[in-house]
Amino acid sequence: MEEWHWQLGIWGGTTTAIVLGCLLVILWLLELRSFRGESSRTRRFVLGALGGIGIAAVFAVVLQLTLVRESFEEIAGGTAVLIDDSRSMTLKGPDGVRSDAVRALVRRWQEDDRVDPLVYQFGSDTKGAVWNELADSYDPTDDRTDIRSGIDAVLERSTDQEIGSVVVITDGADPGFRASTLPLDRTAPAIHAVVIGGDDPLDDEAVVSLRADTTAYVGVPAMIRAEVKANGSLRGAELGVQLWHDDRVIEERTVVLDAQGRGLVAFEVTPKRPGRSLYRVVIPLDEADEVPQNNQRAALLRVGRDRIRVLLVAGRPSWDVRFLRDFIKRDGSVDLISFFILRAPSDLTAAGTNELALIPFPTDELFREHLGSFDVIVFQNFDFEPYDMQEYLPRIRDYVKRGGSFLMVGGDHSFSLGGYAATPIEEVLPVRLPAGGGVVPGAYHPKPNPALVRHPIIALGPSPALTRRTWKTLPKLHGANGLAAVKEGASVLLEHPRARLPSGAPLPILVVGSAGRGRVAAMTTDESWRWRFASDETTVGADEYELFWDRLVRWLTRDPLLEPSRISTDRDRYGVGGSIVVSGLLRDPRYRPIAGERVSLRVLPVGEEDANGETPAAVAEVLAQTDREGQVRASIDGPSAPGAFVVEASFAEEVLAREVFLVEESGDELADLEVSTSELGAAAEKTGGRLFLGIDDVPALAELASNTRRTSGLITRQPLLSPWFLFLTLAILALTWVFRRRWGRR
Amino acid sequence: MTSGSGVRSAGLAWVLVCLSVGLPGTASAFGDATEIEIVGIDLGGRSTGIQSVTGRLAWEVRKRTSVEPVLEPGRSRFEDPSLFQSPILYWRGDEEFPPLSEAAIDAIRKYVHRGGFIFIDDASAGGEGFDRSVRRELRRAFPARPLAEIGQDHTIYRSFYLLERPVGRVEGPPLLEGVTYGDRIAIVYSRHDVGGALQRDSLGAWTQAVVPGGSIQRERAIRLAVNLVLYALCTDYKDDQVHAPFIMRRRGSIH
Repeated sequence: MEEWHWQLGIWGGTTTAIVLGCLLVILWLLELRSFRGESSRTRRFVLGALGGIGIAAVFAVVLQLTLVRESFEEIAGGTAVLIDDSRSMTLKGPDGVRSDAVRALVRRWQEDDRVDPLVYQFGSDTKGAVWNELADSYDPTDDRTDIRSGIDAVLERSTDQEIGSVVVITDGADPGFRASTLPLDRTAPAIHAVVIGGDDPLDDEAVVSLRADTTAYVGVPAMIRAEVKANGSLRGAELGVQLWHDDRVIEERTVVLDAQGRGLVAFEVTPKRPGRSLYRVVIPLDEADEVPQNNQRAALLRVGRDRIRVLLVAGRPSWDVRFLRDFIKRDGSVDLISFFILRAPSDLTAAGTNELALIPFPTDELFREHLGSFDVIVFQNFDFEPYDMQEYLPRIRDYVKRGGSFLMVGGDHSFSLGGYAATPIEEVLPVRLPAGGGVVPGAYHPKPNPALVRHPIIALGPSPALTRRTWKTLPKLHGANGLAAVKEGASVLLEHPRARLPSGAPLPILVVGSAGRGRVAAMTTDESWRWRFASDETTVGADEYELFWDRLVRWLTRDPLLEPSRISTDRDRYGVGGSIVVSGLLRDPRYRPIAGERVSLRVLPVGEEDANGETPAAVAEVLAQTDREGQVRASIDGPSAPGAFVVEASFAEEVLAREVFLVEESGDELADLEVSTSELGAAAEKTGGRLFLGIDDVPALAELASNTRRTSGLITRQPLLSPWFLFLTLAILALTWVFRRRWGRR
Repeated sequence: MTSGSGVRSAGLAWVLVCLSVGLPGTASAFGDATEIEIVGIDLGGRSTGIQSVTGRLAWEVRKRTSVEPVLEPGRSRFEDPSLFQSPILYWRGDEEFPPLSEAAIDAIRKYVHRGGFIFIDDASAGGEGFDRSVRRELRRAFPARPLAEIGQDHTIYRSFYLLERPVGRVEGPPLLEGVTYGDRIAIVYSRHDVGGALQRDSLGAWTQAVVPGGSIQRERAIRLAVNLVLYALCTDYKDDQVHAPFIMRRRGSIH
């Protein structure tokens, strides 16, 4: 068998030849142009023809054209078996586990000793394997299926090892594989494809991909987009999809699928708190789903604070209102909306509306339309009744229970004096109100609660002793609202030194607590401005005033730095099996450091329950020692499977702090299990191979072996470099020069 | 209703009028210590009726707005620590006075720095003595913050009433002057004798005639005084974006 073909010997090959050819054509055209003055058409023709032939001859010589004759011989080629080593091969179909089918096929082939194939396993890379041990050693774990890379690797080796056929055993779960991209020439071996499960695709619903902004801001909507897919018997017109935040469903959608069973869904989420926020797109598990592992994917948003949005409503202008508003407004991280009642119904302005700079109190706009946009609502000595606000009170209560924050500051229009007893507002306040109002007159120094003196809102000093001293030296306050009781679970931070509740406990000046998912605070005085404005005779507490209010607002908005305990991981995303460094500060609910104790750090999957519906066991756990300040730092071996996880720090069986993180695999191995049967078939057809769906019809390996061609001889000729051709070229050029001279041209 | 809307039925309005007549004297349940006290400054010289002015101003503010000032405000000296009992001072005079002590100058600085507001009212009706002394003392206290005219677009002219220009007992210059501290005006200086327009005798009669005259001028003087108290309490509240459209519409309607 022989094959002839031409080669170019010139440096630069075809590119140089084209450039040179163009230059010579231009040269010939210029020569033709120089004949325009010649009157004889014969002379013009002769000179033009000779010039063209001469230039072409020079071009042929310079190209160094080489004629190659290659002869081949057919020999029996070797066989390579290329086996899919990705995790999708461990999935179970109607005919059993795919990897078991591979082992069965290999054992069947091994019974026939006519062929001793080369064996390769492919995943994210391609590596060799031992044929005789393959049935036992085959354990697919790779996170990627890359058929193209596997075939490429074998084709590269085939030039050295004279491989006649390649048998690819795969589930075909490589949506990116295209046969047309394979470098298949005439000497390429035959490619046979055995598609495990190809005869019966998996019944599967899957979240194929998930895209979300990695950075988001509190109160600012962010988008999470997912592509979902349904395969096999589960393919239908629609697919139900849920969005989970932490451990609860926050939205459900029905996605319309296209003809290929694919669909897109976009969720808008508005993070409420700074820190890491975990969202999962979940397809509720169908009993027929053969791959439940790909029914959810997680997105981790790093949520920062854009600006805290505070609504300050004051019943009347006062120094307390003035100083608080000025302070909050100076804070660049706060977006303050304030409304002061400048005129009560009983006031006589002696002016028409057009002469007043007063605007209507937009109750509906604030407490119906935009209520949810505020992080904190402050009622500062504000009574609701004159403004027909009864209908909004349940809304404010619900806003708090859903996660909003509410602060009531005292005064003669606050608490019971503002008519809030037995209203929805009292339901969320951390205190119970007396029915008949009540005021405690007189000047006093509020005392920090000894049990909570480390609470960041009142910890004005670096130590409890200095905090107590600071509170004693601040200017006195005047008057306080009477209360009936403190609700269970609420924390009294500041107390009146003399006044008592009906229970005999000190009258609270500042109480903080929770209501539903929201935080609430009650401050029974409207005199904190005196800490900011005082003579030199008392300690001027400008710094303390600002520290106090800054922390109170931040605590209400759940600033992570003001929580009793907090932990964080050194990264928010890890690879499978990566090492996780956990560090943090652990304090008890009273903000006392958990010092010198062994605490547990456990890693758990998020949102997954076992068959009994119980919280799954920890995938990793270490015991770590805290230092004197309650600081802890430890390293944990990360999960060996991808997914969303939470690390919990606990002490004495109580979880103190949590942080979420993701473990990601390198690819999307189980996300899209659509089989590339047609592409594998195309590769087989192109190379004279065969396609098998399932292992039942696969013949013995010897029957898949093919001959391969080996080069047996190579002969080259350069006819244009012969002396005769060179002489002929020179003769044409000389003849051209002679005619030009004779006919009077230079 | 409001920060102000006046939308009420006529019947209800009448009931509120009756109520309001009896209300101004009602003390806050928290006691006087928590109320607004417009403290008069006593320089130790001739009395210029400061307490009658601050009392009348407190009454007008209480009657017209939701603010509840102390109706019998006290007096203080710059050197007295009691100065810091209230963040608003009324300083009135009509004649030249000797330089203040260093302690007084220091107290003025601290008072302003800590958030206080001072309304200086020149009652000399164009005389130069008090004006010269005030400017001298303010230069001493705030050499880097000179008195400057307060433009017509400033919040002071719309902190409660919409005012086109300041007037007092006398018409005076077209603008107020002030010392800006941070993002607020901490000291307002008026040469219009605003207090003179508010003074009444024990029987309720006006004690000083307004010049050039008329009840409208007196009413405008009272409105300016009310605006200054509201500005001290609310600073630039009326500059908030939520107020701008309403106020601009009304400004348009009265021009």
